[in-house]
Amino acid sequence: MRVSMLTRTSWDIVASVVLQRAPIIASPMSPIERRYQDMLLKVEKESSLLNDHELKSKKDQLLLAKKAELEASGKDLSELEGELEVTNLMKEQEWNARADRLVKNYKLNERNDGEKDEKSLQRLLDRQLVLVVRQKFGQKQYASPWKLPEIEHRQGETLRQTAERCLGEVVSGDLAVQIQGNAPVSIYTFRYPKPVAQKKNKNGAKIFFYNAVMSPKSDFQVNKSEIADFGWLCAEEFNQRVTGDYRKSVHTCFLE
Amino acid sequence: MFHLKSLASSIRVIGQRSLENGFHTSAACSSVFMKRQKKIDPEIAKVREIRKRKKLEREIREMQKHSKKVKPVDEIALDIKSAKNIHERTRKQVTLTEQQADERTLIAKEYCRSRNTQMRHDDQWIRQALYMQKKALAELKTLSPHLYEEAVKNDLGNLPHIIDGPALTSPVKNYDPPDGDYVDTTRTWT
Repeated sequence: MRVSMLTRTSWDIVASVVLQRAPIIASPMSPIERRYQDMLLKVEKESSLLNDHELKSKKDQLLLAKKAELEASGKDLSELEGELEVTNLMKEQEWNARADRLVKNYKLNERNDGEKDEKSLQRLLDRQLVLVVRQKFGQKQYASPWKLPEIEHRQGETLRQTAERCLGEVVSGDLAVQIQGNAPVSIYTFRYPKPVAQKKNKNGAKIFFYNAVMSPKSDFQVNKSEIADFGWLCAEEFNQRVTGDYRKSVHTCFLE
Repeated sequence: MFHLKSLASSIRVIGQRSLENGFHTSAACSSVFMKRQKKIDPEIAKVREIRKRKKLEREIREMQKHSKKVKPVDEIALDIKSAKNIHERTRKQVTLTEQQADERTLIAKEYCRSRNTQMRHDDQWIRQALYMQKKALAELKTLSPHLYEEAVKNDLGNLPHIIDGPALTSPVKNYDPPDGDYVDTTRTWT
């Protein structure tokens, strides 16, 4: 009992939120997936029957050959009247042109791979992004190293409520977001340097992580008075920015 | 239970005994309270009987004619229009060279392996995530039993959890959809 009371008093409890933007578009197929799909399509085509459009194409070809023959021998083309008005080739060209127009008008092919601005939510559309910040913790000149947004637990609230408060501190603007579950998904133990530990009379902080997924439609803005800098990072970028055990303790938050 | 059992066995005994004793029961054929049947001419009765039978037969025929049709299964129904010229619709038989066949087999195998790797990664991820959460909860329990109790409570807030997408293309900004209503064209069968 005494031991547990000692440990209870000698650690700060901190809640941290892994705020995620889920991928918006599917990632492109891997080479093997593409090859396998090509093969399946080929096999399916080989074992299928011709459809009406293909029959018409065949007929068109015959008619075109006949037309060329008649022209070559200088005969009248009247017997082909009405047969070759709209060939499949013309139709297909028209369809393709329309498809290209649609893709161009609505920018359907755009993947935004070139978007370098880390603050943009429209970057890396096929990746899961996580919000990392440099927090001020109420001091004007201070900016913490890059980390997930966090806040210290207050007496009388549950950890989940702390996580919600953390979101409220970090984000301003109309955000549709939900924290997943009452239980933290991971923990990281941070030991204070000696002077701080002596001053605070605590060994360090236990940081509990909560997952939160943001709706893509929400209007995201950070609270400037609390956040010195922020970025939306994918897994590799996150691993570069954040190192050590801290990274290890949250790597399951990336679902890729 | 006991009572029921004993009752059943006693009934059986009684039944057997009554048979042994030669008692028989049968439905009452007549009684003073029953209405007396009118005596009808057997000729007329026969005609009536035949008429009744004919009427029934006619009804059966009608019912068979307009009997409920079985709901068609579109997947196995024959498309008559396409079936008429089915001989035109066959493709040229493709004979694969040995090399091509090998290539296809190799692709299938490689794909299979890639799925296997993916599955193992997923499995590892799930195990890791569960382990991390267990660890976090255990630490929380030692730090504060009260917070632990709150953390292990069910969160029914976002259940059922529905995830849309991801789609193949990103949503079009400011897309103005054309006017119109959805018309349900599903056929109904009564």
